[in-house]
Amino acid sequence: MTVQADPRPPYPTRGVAGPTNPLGMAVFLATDVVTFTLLLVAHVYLRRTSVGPGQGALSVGQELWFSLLLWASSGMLVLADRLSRGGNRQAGWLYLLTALMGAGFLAGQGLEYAHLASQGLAVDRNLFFTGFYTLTGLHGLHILAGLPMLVALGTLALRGGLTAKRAGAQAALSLYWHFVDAVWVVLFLVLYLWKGP
Amino acid sequence: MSAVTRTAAPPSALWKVLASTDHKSIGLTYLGVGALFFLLGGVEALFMRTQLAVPNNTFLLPQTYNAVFTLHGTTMIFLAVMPMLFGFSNYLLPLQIGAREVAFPRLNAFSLWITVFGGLLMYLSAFVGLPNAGWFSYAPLSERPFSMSLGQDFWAVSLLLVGVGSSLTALNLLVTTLRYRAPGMALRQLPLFTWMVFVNSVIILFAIPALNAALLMLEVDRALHGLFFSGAGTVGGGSAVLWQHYFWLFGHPEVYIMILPAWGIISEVIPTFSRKPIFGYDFVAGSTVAIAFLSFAVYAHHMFAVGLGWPVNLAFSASTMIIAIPTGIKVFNWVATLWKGSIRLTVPMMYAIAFLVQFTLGGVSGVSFAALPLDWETTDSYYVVAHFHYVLMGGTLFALLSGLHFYFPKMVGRMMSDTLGKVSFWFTVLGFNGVFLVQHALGFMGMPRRVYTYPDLPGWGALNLISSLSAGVLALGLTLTLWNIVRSWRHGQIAGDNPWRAWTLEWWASSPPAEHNFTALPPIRSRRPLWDLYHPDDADYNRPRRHDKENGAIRPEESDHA
Amino acid sequence: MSPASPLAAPITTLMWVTLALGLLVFLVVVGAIFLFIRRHLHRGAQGEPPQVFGNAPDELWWMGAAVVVLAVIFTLSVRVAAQSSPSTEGQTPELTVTARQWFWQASYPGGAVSANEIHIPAGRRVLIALESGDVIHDFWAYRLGRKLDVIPGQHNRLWIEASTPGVYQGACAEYCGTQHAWMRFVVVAQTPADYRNWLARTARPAEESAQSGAGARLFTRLGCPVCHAVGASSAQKVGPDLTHFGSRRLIAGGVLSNTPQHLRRWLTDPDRVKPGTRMPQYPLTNAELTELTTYLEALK
Repeated sequence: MTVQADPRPPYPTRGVAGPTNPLGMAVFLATDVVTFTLLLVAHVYLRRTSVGPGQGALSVGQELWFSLLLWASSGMLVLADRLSRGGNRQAGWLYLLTALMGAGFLAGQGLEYAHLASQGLAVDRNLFFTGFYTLTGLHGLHILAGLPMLVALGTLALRGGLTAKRAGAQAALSLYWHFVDAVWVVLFLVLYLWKGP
Repeated sequence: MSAVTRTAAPPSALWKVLASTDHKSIGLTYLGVGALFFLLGGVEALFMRTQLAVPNNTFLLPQTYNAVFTLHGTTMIFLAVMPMLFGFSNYLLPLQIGAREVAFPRLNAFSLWITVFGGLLMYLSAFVGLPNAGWFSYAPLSERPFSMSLGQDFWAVSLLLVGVGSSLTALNLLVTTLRYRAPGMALRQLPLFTWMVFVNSVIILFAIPALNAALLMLEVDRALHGLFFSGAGTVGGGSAVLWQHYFWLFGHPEVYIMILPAWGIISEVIPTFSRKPIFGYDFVAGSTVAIAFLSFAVYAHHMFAVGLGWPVNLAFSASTMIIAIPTGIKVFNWVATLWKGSIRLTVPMMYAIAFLVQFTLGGVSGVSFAALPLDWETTDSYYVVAHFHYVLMGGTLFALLSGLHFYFPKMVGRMMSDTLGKVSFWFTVLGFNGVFLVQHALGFMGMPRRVYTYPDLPGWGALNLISSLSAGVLALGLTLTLWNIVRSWRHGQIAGDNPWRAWTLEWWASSPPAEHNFTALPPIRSRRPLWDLYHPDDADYNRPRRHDKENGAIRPEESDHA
Repeated sequence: MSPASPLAAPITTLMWVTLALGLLVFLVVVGAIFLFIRRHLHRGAQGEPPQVFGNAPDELWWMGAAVVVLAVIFTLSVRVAAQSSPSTEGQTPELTVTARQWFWQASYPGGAVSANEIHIPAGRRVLIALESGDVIHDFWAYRLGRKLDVIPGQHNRLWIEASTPGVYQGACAEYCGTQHAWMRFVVVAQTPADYRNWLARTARPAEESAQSGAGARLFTRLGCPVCHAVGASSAQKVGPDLTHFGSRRLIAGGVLSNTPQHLRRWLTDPDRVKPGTRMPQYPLTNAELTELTTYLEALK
């Protein structure tokens, strides 16, 4: 029995034509918006009554550099997509570079965590840090999940496997990476910069 | 002479089920898994009702009883009802829109099995200590040090997994509806079951993340000693009430998630057996959209006894009153569909009528909860237990039973036994109402919910005994239905493509449908493509839409019915 | 269902009104269903009936009627809500009720403390401060007023009132763990004079004679004072205060009424009577049980 991977019927369908992956990814990301929003709201609400060190203990300057690295990776991804659409296999290197930049951001997270832990500021320290670690942790997991996807895209591109048939999946994955970077804009603002209500 | 060829052994039936990405197989597996968990949840209920049959009973220890009621609620909601609804949704939606598959078949299979795994995990907690903080698991009871057992963590992780499965299914069905409708089927021409599932998908996609956020925060607290919900009342401690806000932000939409597909089934069954279209399609469809929005705006009516303050309480009381209107309008339309129909009291129709009566009763008791002082009196008592069982069991479950008898011929190719169906129906109806009607009175008399036993106050013992004995009758009715399924699977009368002479596209496919559902489709120019096919001289797309009440639109053969 | 309070009575009245309206709606709906089924049951007619698609004006009329009914109920409910839950802004609570897994304890002006029962003067409103020592509970004296959650860190205040003196049932109404079922209590409403006397008596330690004797010594030797206060005022301990235990009606959240035999049963094996209770089981001889029981029952 064959596994039916392409569900499209042989007759034209009523909805908009084109790959469905980006739509599916957009819907999934909408749910992620809700999750992150609720966690952010909880953090902002609870940190008002937090006792002890809070935002002041974070390394804003250092984190800014790593954040710029992450946001730059979005730019790199745009470049990679453009090149690969033009048919250029070498775009694969740019995907891999994007993944590297993402990994660099994660390394920066690790540095921040280590720095905080050395001061005894772990997730159980107070309300601020419970929220801080939860939000950055969840976001970090999203980045981590994106890395193998980018590596897969890059490898496929280098091998000439990024055909038109895969355009939908490619668009969906790019959407995911840009979303995760955009979420970091909000998180960086709220966790590092905004002094709170 | 033919050359010897080596062939692989054909896949076993079990492997076909496990590896399938066919929406029909996945749908049936969801139905089977849901039914299995429903059985478990039912056994849990029987244990509870046995313990509560007489005052001061010692059949179950409180530790056991509390784990049983936690499992009962969690199982029924997440592992029984939702999978069964997804089963119907998965099976029917592509057929109803003339598609051959859902948009992401492998994702569909993944959603199924992550749900099954989540369910298994829930019950594997038996090895480490069952969860016992109730299905809505209020903090700080659900936190350490009040719940030290790992079972509580199994509960949280299990629901995270099940939630992922539900979200992905909703995503799949949403994209399928948007992209794979057959030519001619505009969104406003969707069969009502598909419409309900489509709108429901949106609710699911926004509600489940709230649960995910709450569960994540709970586990950060429990596993990593976080402070979100713990330490309430101490300096720098978290907020116990925050859990309730996030949980009910999910929890109230969840009850609509559980009823919308049921409304969809009823909206297919009643027109078919009244032999006329649904009365007021636009109002039924439009009110559903209103409910999708409003469902997020009423959640704090579960928190009226918390002490949130007048402005909040009044606002949610008003919104809860308002949501009664789009709900009630559907009842109006279903009843109006019966008017001047040609009613056939088949087993699915009987269950649908029972649904109407019982859901209305549950809806009426629901309105009493919208009124603040009435809620203050009845919340957390057996009156609320009665209310939600009337809408979820008397409502959703009866709709599922109606759908079962209605769609079994399509799915299996055979009819279920009519006699057995009718006998089961009466046992089920009498049993169900016997269990839950008296519980309204028990709530008024002051019996709190989630109690493993109760004092011998006047009337409490007698009413509880009636409730418990009726549970036996209900169990018998449901068992007879199970027997009906088993017997009819192999020995039922052959059904044919359209045994009910219904009018939506799933009845065009064969029974059961072929692997890719359709080879060709009839032209789709209205909401009832098969009606148009059977009545080409009186197709729906030629009929005036509104004010089609009396004269002018009656055909000669209809005068028999006028 | 049978209110005993001007705070509860309006709720009951509203309940009857709402149920009556609801019943009316229900009967109309069910009546229509059965009427239509009877009239339009298929009895062999050929073909299909009139294909009626809908009627927008009918829908709007129905919706309008529903809005009217709901508006009436809403307006009444707001009035009744204000009547049954008067404002507590700026008012000082008269007594504090603390909820712990799984018993209720009240402390009164003047230093009196009672557990498993709460005394109030009948015939007027009393403001209670609700405090939790652990998880969320809910105070529900169902004939005397609304229920209100007892939440750690949130200082909820509740008005209750008993019209006439009497003993009224109460229960915890928020699942709070293993013995939520036996976290019951009674509200003892007394005439103002009786209440004043009770307050004064209860604020004093129990009668001198009870304090000496073998039972009292045994009580101390076993370590009971670690969890149970006897005579010490505001120290809120893990277990209920026992200062005037002998005068109380209930043991252990209402699982048993307070009689010497029941107390003996409780002390012999608390977990058998109330499984999951925090009260440990002490190995006591029959003589010791008698001494302890006598002592506790004498604490009047």
